[in-house]
Amino acid sequence: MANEVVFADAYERDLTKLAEYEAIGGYAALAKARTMGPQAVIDEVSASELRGRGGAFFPTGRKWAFIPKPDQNPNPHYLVVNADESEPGSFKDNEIMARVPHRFIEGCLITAHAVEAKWVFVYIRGEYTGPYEVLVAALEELKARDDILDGVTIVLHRGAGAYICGEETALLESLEGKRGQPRTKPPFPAVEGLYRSPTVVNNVETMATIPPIIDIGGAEYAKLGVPDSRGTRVVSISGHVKRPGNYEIENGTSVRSLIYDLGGGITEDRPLKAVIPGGSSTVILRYDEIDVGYDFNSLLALKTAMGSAGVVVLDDRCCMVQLGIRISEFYEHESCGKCTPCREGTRWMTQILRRLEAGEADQHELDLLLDVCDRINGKCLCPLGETAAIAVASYVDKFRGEFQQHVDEGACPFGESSPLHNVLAPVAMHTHSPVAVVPA
Amino acid sequence: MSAPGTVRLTIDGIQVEVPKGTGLVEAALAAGIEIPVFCYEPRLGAPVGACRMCLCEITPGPPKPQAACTLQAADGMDVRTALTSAVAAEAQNATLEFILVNHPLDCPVCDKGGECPLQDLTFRYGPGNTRMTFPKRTFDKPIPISPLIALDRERCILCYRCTRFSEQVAEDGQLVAVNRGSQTQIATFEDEPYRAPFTGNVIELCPVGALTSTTYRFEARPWEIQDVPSVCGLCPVGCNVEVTTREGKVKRILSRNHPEVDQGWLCDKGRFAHQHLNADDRLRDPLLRVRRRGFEEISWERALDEAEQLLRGAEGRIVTALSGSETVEQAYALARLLRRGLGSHAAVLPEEVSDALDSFRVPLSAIADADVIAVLGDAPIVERAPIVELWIKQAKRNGARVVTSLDDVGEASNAILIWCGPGAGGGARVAALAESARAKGAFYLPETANARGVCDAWAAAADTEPANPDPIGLLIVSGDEAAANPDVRALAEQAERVLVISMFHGLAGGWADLVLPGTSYLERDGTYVNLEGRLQRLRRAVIPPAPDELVWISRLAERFDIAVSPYPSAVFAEVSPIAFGGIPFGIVGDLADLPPATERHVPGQSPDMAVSEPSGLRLIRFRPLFSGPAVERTPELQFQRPLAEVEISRHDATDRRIRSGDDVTVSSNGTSVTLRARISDDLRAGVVRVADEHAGDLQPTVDLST
Repeated sequence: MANEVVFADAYERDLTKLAEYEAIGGYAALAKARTMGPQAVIDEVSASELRGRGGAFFPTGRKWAFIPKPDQNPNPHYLVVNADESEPGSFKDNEIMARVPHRFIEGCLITAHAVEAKWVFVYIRGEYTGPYEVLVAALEELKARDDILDGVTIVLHRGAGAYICGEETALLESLEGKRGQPRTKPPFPAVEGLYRSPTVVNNVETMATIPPIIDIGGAEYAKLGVPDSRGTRVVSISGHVKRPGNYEIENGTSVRSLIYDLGGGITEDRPLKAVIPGGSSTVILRYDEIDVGYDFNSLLALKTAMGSAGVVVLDDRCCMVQLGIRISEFYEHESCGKCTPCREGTRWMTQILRRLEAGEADQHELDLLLDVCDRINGKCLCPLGETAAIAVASYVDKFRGEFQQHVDEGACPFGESSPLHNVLAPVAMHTHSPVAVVPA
Repeated sequence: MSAPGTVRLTIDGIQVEVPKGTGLVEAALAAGIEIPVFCYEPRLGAPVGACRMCLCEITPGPPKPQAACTLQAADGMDVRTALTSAVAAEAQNATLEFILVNHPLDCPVCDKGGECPLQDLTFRYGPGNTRMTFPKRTFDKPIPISPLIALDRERCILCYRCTRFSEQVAEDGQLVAVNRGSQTQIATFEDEPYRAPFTGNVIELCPVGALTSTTYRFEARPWEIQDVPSVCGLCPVGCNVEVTTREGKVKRILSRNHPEVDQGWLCDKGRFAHQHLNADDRLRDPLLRVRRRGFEEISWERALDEAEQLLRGAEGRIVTALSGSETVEQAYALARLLRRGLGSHAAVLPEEVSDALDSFRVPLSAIADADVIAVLGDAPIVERAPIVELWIKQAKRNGARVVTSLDDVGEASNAILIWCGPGAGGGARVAALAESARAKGAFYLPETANARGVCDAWAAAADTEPANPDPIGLLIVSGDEAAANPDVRALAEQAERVLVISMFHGLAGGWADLVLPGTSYLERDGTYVNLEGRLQRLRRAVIPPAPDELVWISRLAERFDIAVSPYPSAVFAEVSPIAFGGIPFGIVGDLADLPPATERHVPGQSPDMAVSEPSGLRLIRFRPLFSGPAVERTPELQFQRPLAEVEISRHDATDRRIRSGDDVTVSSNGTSVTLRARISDDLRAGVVRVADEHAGDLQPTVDLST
């Protein structure tokens, strides 16, 4: 954790306070950016090779460059920040907003400057009451600071508890007051986003990474990490590790190191069985696949991804069928209901998995499960259903023997002893959050 | 590569050239290839790509099947449908398998069975068996979302056509999707009944049997019905309809898309009011008033004797009150008999009609392309010519400005005037206004379905100026609109004898000496002229319970040695050269053309727009869409009758601190009515609107108080 960027100084000082943040040079990057001009800022970010931290890993500078110039499209530009972090296994944005709200806001303001937006909408997950209050307080402190805000309005909008609203177009629909369902693309948000106007949608961590990039320069930032995965990444390590939590790592750190160095190893020193590398929607890694760099290319070689950087560690007592049910139930619960394969397919997947777990499934149902996954994958309107299918299919693929055992033995070999209660909140725990108290 | 304005692409190996902007579904059709769809419906706005039925392999593009319905044809595109692509075939098969996983297979008892896109597409693209071994998802069903529509949520495949219609076409916002994922359901907002003028369209839009008509449920199977293409006769729009009949009864009415007139939408009155054909008080036999005994049913032969006597007894002192719902042929036949035969020219026409607007004639669809629409006349359009309201909404979505004063038209290159209400001078005044505003087109919305056609036909029979007889020897009341008209009723007081032609006992009783049963527009062959000036063809869907008007007029005319054909085609052949440029009956097509606009007159003096502002508010009493003899005789439509409310402009409401929902007392000259306020942005200041049936004895100038 030598080269902290997002969380720099955040463990030594209370950076939720504006004065503290300014004392370490906060908002200087913003001032610098404003002297640079929008295109220069975009160029600097492009030079940093920063890629979106929300999960799709799209080059940030290129995304900004897609925004049409005012003479091409007279509509206002918008910056929308996706703070609807809802991927099971990911909780990094929560801590970023709670710990370094001003760095995050500064990133938003620099981005607004770069894409010439006067409005910033932060769509924050409804259950994130803590970070929400921190942001409210931070914005309150900034109220009188025209030198910082410079005519930009930042709006906090709380989500109402839908995973799909983390998908950028569904988020925009929801923000417009409509039912949160994804739109077809094209048109892409850069051309027709919020209120059919050019819109940049960026993740919280991406925003919090912008000030340091402007501060030290894109080239300097790009010295961190490995090719195609520059800089640092905040990873959320959870599951059966001794020290779960968020850790800012340099991209390219090995997965083994994440589990055994940062996470402190498996609880009770049990054997590792598998690890989900990038949140619930990514292809699972077996215990023997962890000597791999935590970066885009290395994980791609194993057909998986960093995703939203939720590293979920599973020990040897975990039943992969039960894990499949947990994931499948989540996606069934969160499917928005718009497109057919996701809406009907995730429910069907859950039903088959439950039969497998109960030992009631015939051999052909195991093949049917894979076929259903295959029929969802690549057919959906947005990635929600597809990732559910990819994730579950990867459990079968990598632990086929265990699935086969369920069929052959007519029962789950793990039964009640599978300690999934520590891994990824089950659907039943997705309750409505209390309403945050908004400071007057 | 391709001609300007067009693109060339390949679909299943077939090259097609289509206009730029053409969707892939239509481009494929041009190549004679089907791309199957459920959710795709261009009339509902931008495609949503929800159902995934249209997945095709498309290059260039990502290496997975694409939702073809969301894409537009582009130069060099290579589209491979299920016909030539195993990937597309597999994807489409998968979509159908997923849909059928939870769709109940109750096709044998489903109204949609036999005319169901889900059945058809499953037949062509779907799996022949099921791999689903679990209990299907169940919901309570059917749920009446209104007295007209039943919702079966198990059958629903969530294509969101109905909610998109409600949200993006009718803009009533009442149909919504609730819950999420596989538990998503269609519902009405707050579970209130779906009460709006155009609700029935969602039944036709539904690609499965999820939304069915309560009046058609379990009434027929598609293979034992006959559809008759005709035209709705309940308002001056003249929506093109398909009349479904079974065993000589009208079972339902569907839209028959005329892209220039109705775009395939129908109002609920046009769709459901056909039940008046079978009303309890429908007249089947002629009635004669017998002193002190009231009415007596008589034979047709006797009725013609009595009619002949009435006509002869009046010695030419005859006044004819016309309804505006007669066909051109009926009106002409009646005029032949009365005007040319008996020299009785006096008539109460349904409306004053002028040909001045013919030079501003454009199709209704031109409204959608207008940049400014001036809505004048103050009466509510949706109540008089509902489809016009949908065209205006579409224009608004396209970015048009809608104004209620001619002064606000400004420098518009494509302005359209619509006059709805009194004071149009039969359209002449509207034409003058259109001239001064340099409008591209103008409409006057008459009150009755065929006012123009009836007036033209009446005029075509003779050109003698009528002399008003005094006293009136015989008043002939032709049809139910005339029978319900208070002015006609007043005239009847002065007439020595009254002959009424009416469908219903309720309208004819009391004041007639002789009643001849009338027929409905669904029972007639002939022509109507709609508010655009478009001559459209009515076709007899069912045989009326009594001889139709033409038949007995012809026989009555024989007694006066006047030749009137009992056949609409022959009557039309006579009137057409005089009134309709000689167009043959057979040419009035199923999708009738609009005659070209006539040459503009030299602009005369600019019309007098000075309106004397009265001290109070001007009350517009209007006849609601859901009123009249046909609606009164359709029980399922009663919930649609107008609420007891007063529509107030935002300006006047703000002035008086009135909010929507407030109880407001509307008063004039010592009489008052208390109504709920509804604030309207479509109404200009100084005007309030109340439905006739709630306006009591209110005078034209009113005050409001809370």
